Amino acid sequence: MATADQVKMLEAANKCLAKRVDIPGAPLWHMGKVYVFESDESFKLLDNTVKYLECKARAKMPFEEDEKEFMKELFEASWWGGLYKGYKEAGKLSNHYVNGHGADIQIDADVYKTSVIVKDTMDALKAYIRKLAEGKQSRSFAHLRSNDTLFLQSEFARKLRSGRNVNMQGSLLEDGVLIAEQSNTRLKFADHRFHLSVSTSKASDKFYSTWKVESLYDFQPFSNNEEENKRHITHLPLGHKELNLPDGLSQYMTEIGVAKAFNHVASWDEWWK
Amino acid sequence: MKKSTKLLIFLLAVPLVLALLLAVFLMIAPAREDFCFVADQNYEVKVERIDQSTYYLYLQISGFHEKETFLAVYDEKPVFDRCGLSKQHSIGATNIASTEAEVDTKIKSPIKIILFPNKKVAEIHFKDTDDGDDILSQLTKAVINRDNAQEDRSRSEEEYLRARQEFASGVKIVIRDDLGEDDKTEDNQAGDGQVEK
Repeated sequence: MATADQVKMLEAANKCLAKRVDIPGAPLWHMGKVYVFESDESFKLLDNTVKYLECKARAKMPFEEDEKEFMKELFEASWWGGLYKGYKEAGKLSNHYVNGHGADIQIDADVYKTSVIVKDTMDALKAYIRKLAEGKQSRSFAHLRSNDTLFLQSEFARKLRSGRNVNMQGSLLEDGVLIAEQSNTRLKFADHRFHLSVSTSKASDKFYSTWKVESLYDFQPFSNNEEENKRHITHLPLGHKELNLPDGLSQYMTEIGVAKAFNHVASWDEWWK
Repeated sequence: MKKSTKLLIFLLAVPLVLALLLAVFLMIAPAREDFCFVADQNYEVKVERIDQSTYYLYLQISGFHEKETFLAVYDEKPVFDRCGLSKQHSIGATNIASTEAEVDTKIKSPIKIILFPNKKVAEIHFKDTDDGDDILSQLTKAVINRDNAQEDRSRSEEEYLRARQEFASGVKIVIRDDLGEDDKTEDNQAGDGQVEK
């Protein structure tokens, strides 16, 4: 006799199958048609496919090979778009999600080095390191991170925690996470929130630091809280339309072997006084 | 023409057409101003008149694989393009993560937003530390319409409007000149909004 959970799952599965659509073989083709020719037919096909696959993902159903291929190509299409419009890191990461097999990768440190919140946090950490080096504290400054408790309590970090405009300057949260300034679309689409770490050595009156950002690339799974799910939908603009891709569906790709979460890292060195 | 020849021509033609379409797409797309990777989402929460000025409060959700949620205030009605960006800059915005909102048990309303327009900074205060996630859920329920809610047909337009009205009435916007100034007064009881000097 089936359990209540099994009955529930079967009902959910049947609901999904009732919405079944023919999976388009070339999503990039249809995305191109929507964008260039404003094709409503192509948009409807893409939209219905995403909705159908979302239903399956929520019901934890297995995907057919053509369904897996559709999702993979959606992410690969992001690589193309990212490459040509100044979002090369975001595009690279998106492609790696489906083709990287979970391996760590490096991205161009420029995306962080040019960020206001990163530069301001670097300045704050440098000031803190300078103070530690000058003072008589036994505390080592060799390896620090933006979530270091004493750094966060210091005057240098406190200045980053208030009085900032998140659009133009980004912010440092109380747990040491840096939030990209919202006007910096190149950074926020590649890495919206991250910790900054630094390894430093002193030579005479100069310091040599290696800065590093290491982040996990993954998506938010579906939650039982539907309001939270609504805040985790990626809106992909296609000309006059928007394709809504739930983050839970993107996350589910890791459960059916189409994608793998992975670590990405960027680092840069400098001498400073 | 033999069947095999026709099949061969078809097999060659398909990738050629796809490549041509991709080339057209890539030529046109970067030239369009509204081509963006992912679109930010903006939802109007409240419009409030304080003294001679009108302020617009928006819930904003941005990012790709990592989403962040903000409350932003504008002193002129923002117009958002297809990427969810506006030429008007907000006069203050704050991350709505509940850990970032300060708790102020003195305030009467569930959320109080203190604006420092001269510095383009906004602070968000919750009445109770436990309210943060609840408030975020209520806010989402109130403003994110059902077009974005996929198959949500459980609520009518009237219910969304009612939820929004209820939520908006619980938000106070206060203007202040200087950062670090203590809030010595409780929320006014007469009406929404006040200017503090």
